[in-house]
Amino acid sequence: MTPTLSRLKAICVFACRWCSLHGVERAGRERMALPPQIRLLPVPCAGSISADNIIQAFANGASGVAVLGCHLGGCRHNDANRDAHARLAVLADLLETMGLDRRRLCLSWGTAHEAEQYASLMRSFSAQLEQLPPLPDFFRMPKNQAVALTAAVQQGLGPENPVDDATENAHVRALAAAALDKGRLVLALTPAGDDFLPELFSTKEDLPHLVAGSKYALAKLVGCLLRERAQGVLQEFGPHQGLRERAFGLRTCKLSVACRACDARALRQMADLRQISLQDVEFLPLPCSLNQQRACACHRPQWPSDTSLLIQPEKGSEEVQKRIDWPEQLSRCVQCHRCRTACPVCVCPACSLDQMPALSYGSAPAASPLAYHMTRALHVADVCVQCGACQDACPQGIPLLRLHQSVASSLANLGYCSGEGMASPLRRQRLKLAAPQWQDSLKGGTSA
Amino acid sequence: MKLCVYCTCMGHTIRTLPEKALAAALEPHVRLVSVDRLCHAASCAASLSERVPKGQTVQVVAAACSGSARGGMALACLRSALPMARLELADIREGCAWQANTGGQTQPEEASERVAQAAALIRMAFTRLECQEPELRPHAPGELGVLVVGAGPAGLAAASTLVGLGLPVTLADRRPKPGGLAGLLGKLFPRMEQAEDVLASLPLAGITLRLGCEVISLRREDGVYVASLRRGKEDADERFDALILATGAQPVLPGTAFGAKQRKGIISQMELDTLLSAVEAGRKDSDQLAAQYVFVQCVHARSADKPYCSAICCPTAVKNALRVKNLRPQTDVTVVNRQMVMPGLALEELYAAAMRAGVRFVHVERLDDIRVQGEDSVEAVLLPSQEGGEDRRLDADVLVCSTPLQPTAASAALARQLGLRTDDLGFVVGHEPSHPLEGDAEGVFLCGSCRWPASVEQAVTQGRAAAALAARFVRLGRMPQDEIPDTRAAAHIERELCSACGRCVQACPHGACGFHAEGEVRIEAALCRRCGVCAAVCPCEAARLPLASPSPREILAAIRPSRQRSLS
Repeated sequence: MTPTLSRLKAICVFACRWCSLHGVERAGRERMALPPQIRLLPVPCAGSISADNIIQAFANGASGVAVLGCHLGGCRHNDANRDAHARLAVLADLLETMGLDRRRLCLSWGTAHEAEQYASLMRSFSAQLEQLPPLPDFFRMPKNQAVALTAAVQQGLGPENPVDDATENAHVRALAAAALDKGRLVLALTPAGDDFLPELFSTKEDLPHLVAGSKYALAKLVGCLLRERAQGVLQEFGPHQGLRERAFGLRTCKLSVACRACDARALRQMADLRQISLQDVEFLPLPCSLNQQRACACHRPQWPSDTSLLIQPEKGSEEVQKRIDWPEQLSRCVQCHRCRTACPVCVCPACSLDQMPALSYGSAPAASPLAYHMTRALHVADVCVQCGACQDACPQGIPLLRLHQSVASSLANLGYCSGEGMASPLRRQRLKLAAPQWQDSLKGGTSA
Repeated sequence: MKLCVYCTCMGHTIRTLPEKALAAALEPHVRLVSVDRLCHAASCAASLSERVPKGQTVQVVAAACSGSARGGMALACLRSALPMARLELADIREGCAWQANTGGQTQPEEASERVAQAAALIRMAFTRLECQEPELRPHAPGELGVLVVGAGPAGLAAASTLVGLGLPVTLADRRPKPGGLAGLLGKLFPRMEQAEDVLASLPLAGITLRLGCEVISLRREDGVYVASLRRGKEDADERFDALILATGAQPVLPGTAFGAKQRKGIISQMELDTLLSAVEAGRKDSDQLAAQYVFVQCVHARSADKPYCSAICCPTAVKNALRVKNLRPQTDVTVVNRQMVMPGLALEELYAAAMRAGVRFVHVERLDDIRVQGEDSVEAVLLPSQEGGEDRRLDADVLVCSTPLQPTAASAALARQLGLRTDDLGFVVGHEPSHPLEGDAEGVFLCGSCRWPASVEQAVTQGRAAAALAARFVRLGRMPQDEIPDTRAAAHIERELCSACGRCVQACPHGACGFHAEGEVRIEAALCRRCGVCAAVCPCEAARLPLASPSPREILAAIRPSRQRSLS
């Protein structure tokens, strides 16, 4: 073998115990020459590999990752390997977006007797990895490296452009008045200096203070108000303290929310995740003006409908996408995790990303922002509605919306669009075999 | 203490992986001990006894061959040499040494890479050991034993076979006497042995008997099966490693067929069998037998509501016809049938013997055409003639209905609790077609008539086979890299971390994740097949599958450069 071999670091091979692992062992038994960088990790099913595992492998310095499952259609776990396929396709796109060559991730299906195929696959995979430029120290960049927003990114983001339109205000006030007549509470915006703050309106006398305002992600707030367990999150939103106290009326009244299309999508997605019940919330729809759409770089200003609306990437946005140097951008991340706090569809009571520092070793910084943002983008991959709340919350001005839009466009390739009540390709419901006594509770529909 | 036992495989691995280089690449606190043949119990024990301090709890990694080669045997030998240690296998033969380029001499670069690879594999195995929670193994495999539900021939055969295999066995039946349906019979087809002799050949010695005990519920908890047994009014829970369902079936009663409610002289084959047994035993006189018997086959079978042939009623009818002829040769016996089902050589001979003995077999197209004469008791059976002439009249004193076996509600209920499938009729279905005696829940095995009507001979065969499968499951269930991957601990949900978002419910390929009351997500352990998909889709690590997927620490151990490299 060539001396350059030592440049390659470990290649993690996740092999399914049912098929591929036997093929891999057979390759060894038949003395087939294989690259010595291979680290075999048996798994119960290719479907048990999450994107987290692979990002961890890359973050820890793996040169390449291979996932080997049973042949498609031959999975012992009711086609769970197809899910892995969908999941890893999205991950591969994200790797590419991040500037990590997607050829570093190899996905293959094999069975117990295909030892020769495995050996040749591994040899060509390692040869391919040799060809690639050495893995940059992506995940180990120094923190707080100040990088100015590139012109391209700024152009893509557009200027901050708050809109205060009299006709829009009149429209939303009329809607709010109708909701108040029905005895509901209205959550909407009120001016505060140069900015807007959310407010709960219970009487018509306060309505003159209600404005349509620029986009302000209210969906997370709705979730916090309606979910008992999310009260803690409310504390993190500085200006909203006290809102919860005033929201005691919610025990007797229902809530109406002045919402943009993205808010509505987020609320629907939260209902899909069983965090809120849409019966508790009424939408007061606010259409977005062209200016606002530009201000948000919005791909989907349309109000969510039953007919599916796939994302139509804006003209030229792909070039913008390509020009974003993500390692550079994310190096500015100070890990304040405000993107997570602001995200309406981040609903976990405890985030697994808080465990990430335990993964690092040696001289690497405690947790790599790149790994953090990649993992987060994939955790919310099929529930993210691209509302941009994360980007608005980021104190460093990292264009996170672009990141989530790129993940969404990989999912759009699979025919999926979030917030429209579609079944996610990453977790298809294949089996209706649940024990009979459970079905009643499923039908009953529980609002958490 | 950490110990790595390095099997040099009679020199097969040592050339690529020199012991000294490997020891240098491992962590300083790991002791490396080399053994010539780890898979040979005697040589393994001999070489380890001097070099390993006794009485210490040690973590031991066997650096040997793959589990599909002799790795399992290597672990078994290590287990006997170091009974208290926690063991794990690292495959450094197929997984490392044998992958080296054997053509020509190994380059020094590759040699050091191979050592690093072996060191990583060993490190990963230690990480797996550290991630194992010892409390997951509250008992040694096989300690709890197997519960056999139902003491019919299938259950008795399964239980006595398991005793022979050295496993603790509990046999439960709601009847106070073992034997099931076969215990109520006199003779058995096709060899006409006494049923009690056959049952006596399945000894009860060594079996923990729970007779007169009803099994109320079966469920899976913490990787073992828990059975609620009710004796009288007392309930008690007992724990088992595996279950064998031998709950049997029940004969359909003649009911109102041929006006059995108003007329006397319409009985079932079971009733005739009881009478024949009494006469054979000398408890009754042969004069008690009627002068003219008409047997009618397929009563309540192959009909709209029971669209199947249970394949044991024809042999039973022929058996009883022969017994009547033997006891009282002058008796007329006519078997009215749509079709006689007598498969196999022995039954064919029985059929021929019956014909030789003078039993008449009469074919009819439809059972509905049969009419019975007589007001209070049966006088004659009228069959439609084939050529449109007069009806054929068979004088009869007694009409014997041959009825099929049907599934019991109790066995279907137990199957449902375990997540097993039942067919439309209510028979329990195994993993067709390749694993018919294994239920859909792991560690549950099926035999006898709860699957499908079985003769005593078939039931005994299935019982013995199910016992062998159960013994293999109990013994090997926890071996690493076994055909059934990794242990019995099902996936579970950490409730404090769970947001009840339902991702796992949608993704679970086996329907084991579900919403319970108040939107809480739970994983039904009996349905969980440990694929780890729930853990993969859960964003907050609330769904967990211990020991199955590589932990982040194991991934780190796989990639981290080994000691030798980092020093240089």
